[in-house]
Amino acid sequence: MYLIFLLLFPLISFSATDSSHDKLASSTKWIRLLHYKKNLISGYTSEADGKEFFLHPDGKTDPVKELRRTIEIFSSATTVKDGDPVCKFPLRYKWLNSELGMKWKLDLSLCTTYVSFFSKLAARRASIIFSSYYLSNPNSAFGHTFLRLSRYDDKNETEMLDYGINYSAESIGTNPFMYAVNGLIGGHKGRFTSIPYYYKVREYSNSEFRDLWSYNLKMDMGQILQMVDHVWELGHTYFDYFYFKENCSYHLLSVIEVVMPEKRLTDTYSFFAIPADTIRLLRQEGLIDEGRKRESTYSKLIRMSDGMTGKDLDHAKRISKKPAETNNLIAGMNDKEAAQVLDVSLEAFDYFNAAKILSDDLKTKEIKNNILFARAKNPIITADDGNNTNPNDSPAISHSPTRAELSQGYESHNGQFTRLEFRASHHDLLDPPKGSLKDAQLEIGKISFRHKEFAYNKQSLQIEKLTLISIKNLPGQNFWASPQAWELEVGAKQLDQIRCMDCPGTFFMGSLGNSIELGKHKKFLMAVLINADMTLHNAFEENFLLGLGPKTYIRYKFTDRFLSGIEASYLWNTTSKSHLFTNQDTRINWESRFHASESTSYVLKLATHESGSVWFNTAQLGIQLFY
Amino acid sequence: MKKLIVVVTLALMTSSAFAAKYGSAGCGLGSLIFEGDQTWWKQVLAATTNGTSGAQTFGITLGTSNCDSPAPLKVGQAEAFVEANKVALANDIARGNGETIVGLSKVYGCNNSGEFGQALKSNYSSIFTTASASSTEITHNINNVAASSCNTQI
Repeated sequence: MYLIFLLLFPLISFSATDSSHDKLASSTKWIRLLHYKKNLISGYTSEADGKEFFLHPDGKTDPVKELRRTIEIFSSATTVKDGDPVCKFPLRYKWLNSELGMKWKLDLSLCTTYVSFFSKLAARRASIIFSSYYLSNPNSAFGHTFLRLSRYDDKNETEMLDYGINYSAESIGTNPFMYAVNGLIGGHKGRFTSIPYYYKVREYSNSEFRDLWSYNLKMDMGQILQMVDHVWELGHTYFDYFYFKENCSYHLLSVIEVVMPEKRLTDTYSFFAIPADTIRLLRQEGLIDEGRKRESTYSKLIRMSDGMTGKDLDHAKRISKKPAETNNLIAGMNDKEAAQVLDVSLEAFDYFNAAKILSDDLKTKEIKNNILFARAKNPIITADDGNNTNPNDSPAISHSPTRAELSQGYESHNGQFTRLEFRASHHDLLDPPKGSLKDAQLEIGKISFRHKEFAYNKQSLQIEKLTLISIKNLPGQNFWASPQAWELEVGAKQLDQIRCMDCPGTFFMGSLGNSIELGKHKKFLMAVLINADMTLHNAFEENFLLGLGPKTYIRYKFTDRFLSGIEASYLWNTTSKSHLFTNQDTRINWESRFHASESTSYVLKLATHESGSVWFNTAQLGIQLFY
Repeated sequence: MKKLIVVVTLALMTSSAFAAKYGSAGCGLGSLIFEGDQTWWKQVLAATTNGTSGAQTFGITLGTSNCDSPAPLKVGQAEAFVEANKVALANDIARGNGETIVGLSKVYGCNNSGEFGQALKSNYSSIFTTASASSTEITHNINNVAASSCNTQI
């Protein structure tokens, strides 16, 4: 019974006043309910793009007309049925009714589809879910966020019965290039959908091997139910989907804002709304708890096999590769040992055969039965996994993705220079590691300038480098998998040659290889790669220069606040008639960073680079600010 | 116990009936029994809709996916749950413990998921009879285990 009061409380607290409708139309609640955003000069435009979201033809741009029309329609209704405005927009109805003194007496339980949606979710708690970065798919390289609505109060035990509320772009066609272009210009329609959470778990944990972080939203029951009502309302429209800003994360914030009018969330983003960033914002606003991780099949396998003896691991792997030999292999073991080996081999089997397992392949299931039957016969019951969350991995505590750097340097032959760099997003291998990508780098939009004073007293300000995108994915080898390491970078850079002082050229760089991690907390990372580089510039014979050669990268994490990395590369280049350029290029870069606080880091770089048998040595000391 | 039998009987009736209607995808199953602590949402709904109290059975609408859905509780939900979680469920039952067992205990209204897990484990071979067993068969077999071992006090 108390639930009724709990629910009515926030509604009653909107005190009914005599204020004019126009005043109501400019209230935060109304603005948020209709997803209006202030125009640059004056007036409002709603971000909702489906016409059916508005009751007045000018509703998209006119909150006042929309409100008047809405009140008119709600007042004149005597009864309701499915599809009526009241049924489509129950939260607008409830809110206006409470603002206007509860004078409307419509029976919303006649809205059968709304009622069925409401009861299907039966939401009591809400969490925001972050599915970790997935560099193999550009559409979700930054991760993804969605809502989970839980119907039980129990702490996280019954996630499998929950619902996910997902906002995503409807993808039309399969051409990845057009998909990307449309994502940038708002060519996709973004819609809210609801789907049982276990489908989400299958998609992320079992198929793509991505960990899921869930954060309980600190909301009262009334707010959660308002959120359900509002999601229902949003089910009647679509938004133009913009990959960088009006994306999944942005619109989840917009839903939260509707039920918390006192919070400003979406307005904090003018250009990028990156999933991890929105989680960070929610944490700063005190809207979420510390979070909990659901391990992917892969993470679980790695954790379960941690601490097993080499012999047991070996048996577990053999069983997972050849389940028919299960009984032979566990023959000499006691029950406890066999149970552990079988548990790991089950997980490994699902990891190795993920696609077939999820598509319900009969042969695969028959083979797997060898392990399952053996495990069922073994009397040991596996203890609860417990909570394996390491709070240091939480994306909510990751660093801010935007960064500025100012450094002072000295280069042999050229003298002093001052360097300025801006990065829009997101993380590089030496940034603060807490909660961010592991052994990987993802940077979008980075530009650096160099101000030089040459020996002959001439000054110049140059663009040193412009990076559109730079990805380094260096996952380490382990007992179960041998993932590929790769890098990709596109941008423009100074050719950096002895007789060409200001020659920026477009470049494409890609490399492939493998990496290993060593040490207790994987402090040591080393990658060995084959690197290919193509640079476009008219100074080259064919207007381009192709280079190929080995590259190695080593990073050592002394602590989470002090990291050091060294990269060495050698390129054989196609020769050039102009003789401006040599046909080889050797570079060694060493960089150390000390992260003094959440927003300030110090950086020291030493580099050496050979051009035309002249070695250029550079030293730089700088400060980085995350903001 | 009586209630449990009713639930299980209904489970058998509805799951097969709905399975026929929705095909093997196992989605969109739906038939509800509300009771015990689960009635909270009805009170809420009644309070917020000015309604006289919710109807007893509902269909599903929002969303375009055929999989968008089983009814909130019990009965038909068991089969949808089994269908969607078959892989994890087989692993968990073989191990005698795990998240899907806790979830299934909720669906069946079992208070002690530990005992339920134990019972399911010892009946593993009669639940997952063959690799080709359908979700309907598996659910049916689980229903039998639940009927005899699940200590329910709804």
